[in-house]
Amino acid sequence: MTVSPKPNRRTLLTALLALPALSGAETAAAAQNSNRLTGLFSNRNSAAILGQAYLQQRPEEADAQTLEALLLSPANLGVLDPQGISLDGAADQRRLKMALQELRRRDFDEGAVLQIGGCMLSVTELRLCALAALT
Amino acid sequence: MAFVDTRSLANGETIEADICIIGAGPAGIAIATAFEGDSTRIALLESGDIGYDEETQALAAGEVVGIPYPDLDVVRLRMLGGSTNHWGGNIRPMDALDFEVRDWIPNSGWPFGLEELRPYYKRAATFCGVPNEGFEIESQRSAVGADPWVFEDDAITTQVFQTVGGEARALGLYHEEALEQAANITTYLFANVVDIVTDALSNQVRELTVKTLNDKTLKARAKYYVLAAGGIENPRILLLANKTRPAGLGNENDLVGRYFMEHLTSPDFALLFPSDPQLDFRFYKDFEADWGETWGMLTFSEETQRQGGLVNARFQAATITNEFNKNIDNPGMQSLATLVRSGSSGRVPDELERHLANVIADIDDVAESGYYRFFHHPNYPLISIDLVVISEQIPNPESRVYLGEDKDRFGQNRCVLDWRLTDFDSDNLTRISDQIQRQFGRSGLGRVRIQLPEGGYARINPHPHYHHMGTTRMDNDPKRGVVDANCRLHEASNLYVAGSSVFPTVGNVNPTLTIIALAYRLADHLKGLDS
Repeated sequence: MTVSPKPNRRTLLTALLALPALSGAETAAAAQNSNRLTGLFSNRNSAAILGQAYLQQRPEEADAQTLEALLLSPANLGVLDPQGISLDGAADQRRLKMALQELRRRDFDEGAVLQIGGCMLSVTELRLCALAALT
Repeated sequence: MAFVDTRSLANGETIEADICIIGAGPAGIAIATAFEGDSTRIALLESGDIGYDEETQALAAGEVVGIPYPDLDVVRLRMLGGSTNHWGGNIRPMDALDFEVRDWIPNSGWPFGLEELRPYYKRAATFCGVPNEGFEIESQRSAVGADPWVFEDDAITTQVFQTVGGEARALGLYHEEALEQAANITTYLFANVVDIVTDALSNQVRELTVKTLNDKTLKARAKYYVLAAGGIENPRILLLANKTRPAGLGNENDLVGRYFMEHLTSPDFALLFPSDPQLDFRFYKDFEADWGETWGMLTFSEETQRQGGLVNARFQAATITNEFNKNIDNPGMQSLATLVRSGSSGRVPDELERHLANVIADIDDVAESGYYRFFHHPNYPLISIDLVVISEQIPNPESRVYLGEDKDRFGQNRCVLDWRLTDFDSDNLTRISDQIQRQFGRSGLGRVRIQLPEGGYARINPHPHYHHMGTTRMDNDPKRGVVDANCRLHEASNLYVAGSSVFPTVGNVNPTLTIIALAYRLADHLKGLDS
């Protein structure tokens, strides 16, 4: 496993999602960035509603940058970007989903879960939902 | 020999036999027929008739205190075959872990393990008219052409249950001909045992006092006696045998009637949202076999139970709720519609459920499946499955059957059922809920929503199964059990107890197959004594 020793989260997020490097068009890129991260939701409205429920329980996470930082924490990157892979095209989303499933499994193993409406959900999936609610 | 109407016998007559069995329910009939063709003379004493008799049934009345429970003359039947006459017929052997001492469950542990009972379970299956191999996963897999669900680390496993077919379900009628034709078995109908008479100076049962509803009193004498009258009547009869032992026979250590247990069920407890609405659950639906039905159940693995400190519980995929656009014309949708119609509960899903279903399908990566590609739109089908939990109750000495003040037709004290749960049972439901949610989530099979009544777990009103267990519990230590490992009363050398009243713990499965297996084991023990 190869993980950057001191990853710059924004850079890693960009690499992970095969986004253009940050440039003068940073604002546009960031928006695209979040869109890619939340793009796995085929029904974004549903995700946003669950995300709002999550943020009611954890209001301290209620901004997109915080959520991105949490989703791309060093511990998560070990799963999301284990080989410094270069992602491109449709394969990106597929690999991202597989990595997120691994994170979901890890969350359930480690008890990183939360009850929303009587349903136990992983913190990672809820943070993705919260990101959908904020962007 | 035949059936005898005890009312027609002379007042004061003595019934003589080698073994006298009190109660012609599944345990009593299994023991009696185990001696079929033998030279051992069996007297099978049944309180009721071959069919239902209202006056006899009234003898089953009693008082209910504690947790609400249906009337005691409703939850059991006094007639040939006993309570199997209103039996659902669901059977399966208990699990190996059920027999072990589990340090997280007080008063757990049987004096022997599953291996001891295994050969008797096979005979019990035959007694019920079902094939023993019907409990195997492979059997169900080939029958239904579907696989059980696979969970991460096999934390949740699948068990196969069988339902005894209609003809065999009333076990008295099913075995009536065998009883009638056995030369060495006499079944005495309308024979109510009102006392077990013991010698004051010895620990021997000398005789039984039998009464009939036409006011005759008889005696029954044998070398050995077996009390097989059910989980409520067994302790009652022992407590009523108090002429020479004021606390009741076998009650030196105040254990008779204590540790009453039921299986705990909470319908509408958990709702599964499969990540894939096309999740194949044929393995868990009833399969109509030649002899009855088979179906799969989910249960926690031994390892999960040990690690989580869980009681044994099982989950039945009961009904399906769906909402979809019926105008979609597609073979996949057609089969889904058929599936849903077969089990739809008609419940209207709430909005949160819809959003949950949307999101978990994406996270668990089924949203790219053919199903979703074709049908995903705002009105796409929502599928959820009710999971009914059935769990064991923790042995609790304060949950008990005892003698009340009211008297029956014979002047005998009626019994009082004081069924009680403890905080430990509520805690277990919490742990079970947590685990079922966790294991479905980590396996990516779906998410489970737990639906609790207002007030939480403590307010769950357990659904009675009419499983009456634990009231003459088995333990080799007389201070901890009423009967020993051979089901012999500690206080009487020639009195044995059969039935679910001897269960020290109850597992998650319906008790009848284990009752019959234990009965066969006891029959073998008695044969060994005779030889």
